[in-house]
Amino acid sequence: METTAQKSLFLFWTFFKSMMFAFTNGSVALPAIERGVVDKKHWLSHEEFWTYPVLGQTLPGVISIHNAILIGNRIAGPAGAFSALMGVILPAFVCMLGIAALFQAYVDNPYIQGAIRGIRVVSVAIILGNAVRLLQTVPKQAFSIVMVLAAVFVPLLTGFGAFQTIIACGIAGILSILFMPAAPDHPQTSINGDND
Amino acid sequence: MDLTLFLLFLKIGITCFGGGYGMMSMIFDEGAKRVGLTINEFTDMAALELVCPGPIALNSSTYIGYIKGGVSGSIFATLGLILPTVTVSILTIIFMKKFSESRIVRGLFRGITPACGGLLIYTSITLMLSIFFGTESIHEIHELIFTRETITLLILFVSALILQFRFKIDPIVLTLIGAATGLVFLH
Repeated sequence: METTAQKSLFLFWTFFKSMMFAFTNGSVALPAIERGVVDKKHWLSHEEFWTYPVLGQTLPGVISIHNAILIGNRIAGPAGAFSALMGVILPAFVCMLGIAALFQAYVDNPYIQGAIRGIRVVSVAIILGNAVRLLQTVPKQAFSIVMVLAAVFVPLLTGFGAFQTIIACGIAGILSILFMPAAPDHPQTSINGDND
Repeated sequence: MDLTLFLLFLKIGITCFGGGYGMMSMIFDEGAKRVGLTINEFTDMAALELVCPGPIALNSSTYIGYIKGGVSGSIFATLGLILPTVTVSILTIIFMKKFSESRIVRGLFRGITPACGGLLIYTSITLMLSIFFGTESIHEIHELIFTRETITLLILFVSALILQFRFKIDPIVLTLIGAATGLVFLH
């Protein structure tokens, strides 16, 4: 049996190296993490492992951080949670610092400028793609459609910002669930054409 | 500055629902108000994140923290960002799965998930205005000027959309295409 310290060290290293290759989305790292803690160490079953990312998605906050804390805590308690958390934060933090410093040093180079301007345009297309993917998970109900339209046009045309819009939509969501009990509670159950 | 960055990202961390891209609009909006983040700085960040590993949310706090407050700024911004998530995770462990099953949290998601999608569209529109027209708001467009450069950008943008939606091309490949096009045509 490994000690908590050994388990924590392994957790840190597994999360760290998996995150090093997770570009654009933290969840890309999950299969590599599963290989470490399920296939190699047998600390969890395949089914139990995947309950944590599913749970993490339903919680407010950064999903990869939820996954690290929940899986780390399950395997090696608070020390495991902390190690896994560091394994998630460090690659993103250190790489971004390096890239930011390099970029500032070469910001005047016309070729770097050109490349970055090309990537910028692509990044807007990718942001738009993420908007579409996010909206595909939203049930097709009148309430959701009103929320989407409000979130596009209120900040675009009025002085209200993203923060006020998010808070207002969150409150509207809570009110809708408290006062419209007939409406389907769970997004997955409401896709097949329910109208509220 | 450290405290301002910490509080800015604490606020962003609290409203961060449904993944890193959900918070892009918050960074865009609140960043401009609180630490004077410009559209150019924001689009640099969005571009550099594509070549940096790790969750987008952490990349963003590190980058904005660094350009606005150096290494200590990036540490404080990142701490602010993760604090709400870590708190929610710990509460979830203590109260088991009750938290994610509560009606209040489900209601929040019901309103906030579509709002995040809508806000991303709003952010994309504003970024397109900036990239193609050089304006910062929809009220400022007076005339369309087509230069060789804006036409190149437009072609690249439309191709990126088609490659992404029609052919499901990976974002990493799209990033490389964007970088190569920029190197050859935009320097």
